[in-house]
Amino acid sequence: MTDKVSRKDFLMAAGASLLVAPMALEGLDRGQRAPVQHLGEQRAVVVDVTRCIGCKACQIACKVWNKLPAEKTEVSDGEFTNPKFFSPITWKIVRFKEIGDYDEDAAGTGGLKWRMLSDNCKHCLEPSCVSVCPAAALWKRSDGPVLYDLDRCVGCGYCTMACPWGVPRFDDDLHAVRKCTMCHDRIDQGLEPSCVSVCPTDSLQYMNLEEARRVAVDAEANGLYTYGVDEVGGTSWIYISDVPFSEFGLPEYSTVTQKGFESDILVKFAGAGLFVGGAILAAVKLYAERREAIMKSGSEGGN
Amino acid sequence: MSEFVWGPLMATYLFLGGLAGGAYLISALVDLFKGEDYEVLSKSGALVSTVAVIASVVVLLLEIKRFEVAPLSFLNAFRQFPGSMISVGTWLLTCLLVVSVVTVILAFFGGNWLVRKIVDVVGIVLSLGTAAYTGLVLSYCRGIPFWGSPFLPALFTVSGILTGLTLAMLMIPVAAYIMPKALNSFWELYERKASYVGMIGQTEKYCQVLTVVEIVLLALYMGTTPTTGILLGGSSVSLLFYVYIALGLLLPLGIGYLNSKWEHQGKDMMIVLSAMIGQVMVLLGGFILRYVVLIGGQLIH
Ligand code: SF4
Ligand code: SF4
Repeated sequence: MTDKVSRKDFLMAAGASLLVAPMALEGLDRGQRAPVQHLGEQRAVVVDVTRCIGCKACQIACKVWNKLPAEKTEVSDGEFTNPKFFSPITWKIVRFKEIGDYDEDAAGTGGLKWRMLSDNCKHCLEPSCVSVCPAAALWKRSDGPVLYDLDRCVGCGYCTMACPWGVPRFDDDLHAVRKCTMCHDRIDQGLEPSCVSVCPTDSLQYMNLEEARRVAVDAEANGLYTYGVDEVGGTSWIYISDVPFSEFGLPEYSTVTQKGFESDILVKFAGAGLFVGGAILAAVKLYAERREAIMKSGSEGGN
Repeated sequence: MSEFVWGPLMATYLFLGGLAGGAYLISALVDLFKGEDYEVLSKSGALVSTVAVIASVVVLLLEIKRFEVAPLSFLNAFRQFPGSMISVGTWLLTCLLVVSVVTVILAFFGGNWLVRKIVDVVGIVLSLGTAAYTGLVLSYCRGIPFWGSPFLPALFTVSGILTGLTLAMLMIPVAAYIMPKALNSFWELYERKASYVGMIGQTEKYCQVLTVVEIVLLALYMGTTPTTGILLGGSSVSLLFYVYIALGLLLPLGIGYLNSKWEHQGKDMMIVLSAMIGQVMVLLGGFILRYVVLIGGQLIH
């Protein structure tokens, strides 16, 4: 008995799989589910950039309530955003942005706009961090907050990389990631999140998600920009601004959820893979045929 | 981003995972289609795959930083299948390890012909999955636009096959010297130098095809992904990126071309030595590729 599978059989099998694979992949759940479920039960926060005066009370309140120590910071690039990045002990950052070019002939602020945005974990409706965590250390609570279990986290960093805003941060002392919890311990007591409770201008407002999305839709109708209604399938923190969110370095995201994003990559990769696989098989086959032809002509020449 | 979450350890993990998949794929394909002539390459591939999977798991443990929860976390990771890509990878690597060990046992100590072929076929699926996983795990990171491309897993898969084949080839003369008795067939093969040279000639052709495909995929990846500029110029890793292209892709192609010329002139020792240089460069390039993609992505996070 020969222990070789003929090249022809293999190529036929490969060809058949080329045909079958796309059909199988078509059947995959593309994960683009209706982005929001049970709106009424979920709590949310609306962040109105037009009301923010940049007092940083929310940033401090977060530190105080969550007993997060201060960290050494530096003022760089003439920026007031400080610190610039989330860390295991900085869950809330007020981002400062000077927009426009100063024109001394212009009235008022000389054409400059000074805007601030209170930034933290967005408590996504379908969180990427929860989706990718191999340890089930993160979960979305039915009333909104995205929480985590320090004891389950293995510190792989996948959530940091997958989060659209790089929010969860590894804590070297605790050996786990940490981030904003939406003050779930306050919510449980019927209180607002700490940052919301101290905002002097009501730039941060705590309400239910359905209402928050209505507020955002109304703002859009008034020509304002919103962030978090559609992005990554929706978030529990919804932002309203009179300047585009790209000014604050918030990337543009489609409505596709993490699961939808993953299946999209997988389907396209399978397509590319089948194409490349086919090309390699064809190249190998051509090479083998050429070699055979050369050997044949060589042995014929020798006769 | 303030600091790199994933650095050299993660790059090593991805490199070894891809290489393990590639080495097993070659081992199985050679066993299925080349039969006894190339038995030594099949054995070498299975051995390389076994060692690389074990090494990658060790590196992952070092990367995740929490040894105290390691046993539990592996259990948790198994249970998160197929939700998290890292869980998928944990399953793939574990199954590939089992298949590689079984193949090594069957190959060195003999076993049923049919069992070996079935293990080969199962292993081909697992090895391709493992190599693809090392790219998909990055592409799923929505926060890193530089990784969010279907060409990245394709690139890593091809690079994994290339590095796996390369290390399996490189291990043959190395193993022949280190363990001449234990790996008798390696030694015998090395004694029959001409046949190793013949094998170099054949495999280099395949390596050239894979390298050209890798170059095409790299171009497609770089051409279709936002923020590619970070690797092309200016950043701390762009120099390394060019080293990868020069030493990991172009130099081995050149060596392969030279060797095909020398093949007809009987310069056996030259062929073996230059092939080894090319092989080391391919491996170095494979690692640098993972490293620059990892760091490049996080630079623009
Ligand atoms: S913002 Fe990031 S950390 Fe927060 S819920 Fe969404 S994905 Fe998770
Ligand atoms: S770092 Fe922790 S929480 Fe984040 S994905 Fe890994 S195990 Fe899960």
